[in-house]
Amino acid sequence: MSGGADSEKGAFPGAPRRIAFGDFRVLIVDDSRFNREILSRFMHWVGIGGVDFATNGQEGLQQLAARHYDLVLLDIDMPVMDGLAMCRQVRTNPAWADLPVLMQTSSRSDPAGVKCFEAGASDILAKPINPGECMARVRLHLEKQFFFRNLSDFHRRLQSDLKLARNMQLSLIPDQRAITAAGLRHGLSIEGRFEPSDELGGDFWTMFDLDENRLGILAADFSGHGISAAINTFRFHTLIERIPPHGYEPAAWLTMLNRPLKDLLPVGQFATCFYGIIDRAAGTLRYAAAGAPSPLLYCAGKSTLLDASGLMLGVSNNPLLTADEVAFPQGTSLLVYSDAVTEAEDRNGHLLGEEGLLRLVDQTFGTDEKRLAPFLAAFDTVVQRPLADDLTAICISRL
Amino acid sequence: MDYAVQTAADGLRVTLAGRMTLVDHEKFRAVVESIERMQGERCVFDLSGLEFVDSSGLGMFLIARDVALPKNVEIELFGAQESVRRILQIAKFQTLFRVTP
Repeated sequence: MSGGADSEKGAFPGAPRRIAFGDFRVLIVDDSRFNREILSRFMHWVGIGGVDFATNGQEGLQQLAARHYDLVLLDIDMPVMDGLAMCRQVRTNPAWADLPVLMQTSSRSDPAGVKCFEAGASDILAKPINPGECMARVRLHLEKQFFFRNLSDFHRRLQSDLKLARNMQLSLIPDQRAITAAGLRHGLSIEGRFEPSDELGGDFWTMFDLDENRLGILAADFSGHGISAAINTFRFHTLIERIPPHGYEPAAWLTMLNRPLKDLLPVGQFATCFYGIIDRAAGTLRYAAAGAPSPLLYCAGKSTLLDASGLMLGVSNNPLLTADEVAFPQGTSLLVYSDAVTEAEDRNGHLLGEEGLLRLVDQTFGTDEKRLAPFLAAFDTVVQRPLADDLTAICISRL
Repeated sequence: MDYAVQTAADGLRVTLAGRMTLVDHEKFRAVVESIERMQGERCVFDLSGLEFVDSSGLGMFLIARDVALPKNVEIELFGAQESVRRILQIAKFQTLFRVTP
């Protein structure tokens, strides 16, 4: 809205100045020329920038269809189509569902304005029209329109921005084609699920094709969720592009990532992180972790939780990471997940916890190479949705 | 999350209860301000009533630590229940705080 001086020129003396109505357009539908002129003057005093006229309901509907109006002042008794009929027509059009329609009622025929309200009027003005009341009601309804429109514009803009940002965030995560290609090359079955709790989230995962035998898997979870956490995932992605993992041991690489994150992130923000290298030739998983939920190793029907404790990245200049190497023979699966899994609540409000996770894996990890989908399906039957945090789960099985 | 801040002989005692999550940032700011103003060298967080802490909650302890360090105040995380203790342990918080049973 522009609060231009032009719209204020005709303001009624003594009227409280709130928002400027110069951009608003009002349609006056009245068969009496005298009434049209009087009402028009009141609108001028309110500061309305545009006023148009119609002399009956049918003309009024034509005008409404032809251009945008913010409010309609409607008389009842008119030839061709009366005000009640026009009002009913207006309300059948979804585009005009919220259009303020103020009807002039006569105290003789409809003292309480019941017929008007039944026809869909927003408000009534009792005849004879009192200038102060008329202006106050018009102002009130336009203000309501103004705030409502501002809010819904803002909401719509935010929604579309968030949708764009969500697609950008999804593009950081390996897509199905990349996952399948990496799986084929390394003799692995790779499954991933990435599900931010809001439009945006603080989770991130990716893979690195280190050489023909070794595949790197990185999963990180930034504290908090929503926009600020999501921005941190973008920063993290940039950081990885600048400092790629090739040629480094997992712990050495995470230590290299920690330093810039410490400088970048304010106190209280950090990332839990897991980075592992699956080496097909050596049959091993070498990993380092910084405060990540314990990854699960599943082999020959047995589950083991790996130690992934450590100071989260970005907390201290001297990161305390856990680094280890475990056997990763054929038939083994590695399940890496965000804390949303173990911190999910069951229907009784209890945390799923590591015990619950182990139970679910026990029930769902069979001989089939596709293990994540049945696991998550069982997870969904146990926990309460929606989850409070971003969910990431990656399952890598060696065929 | 509910909290109570009391002055103790050697510093401050902060009792936390309930669930400590992202939505508690504003509340926790008051706790941090108490640490800023406090006298003494010890700030004990009594966690025995705390049922759950998420990553944002861990971040709040780190903010408290950041305020306490320049004042030479030691922060003690005392009496955490099993589930909270596990989260503190995964985050290796015993290397940053005095964690006591």
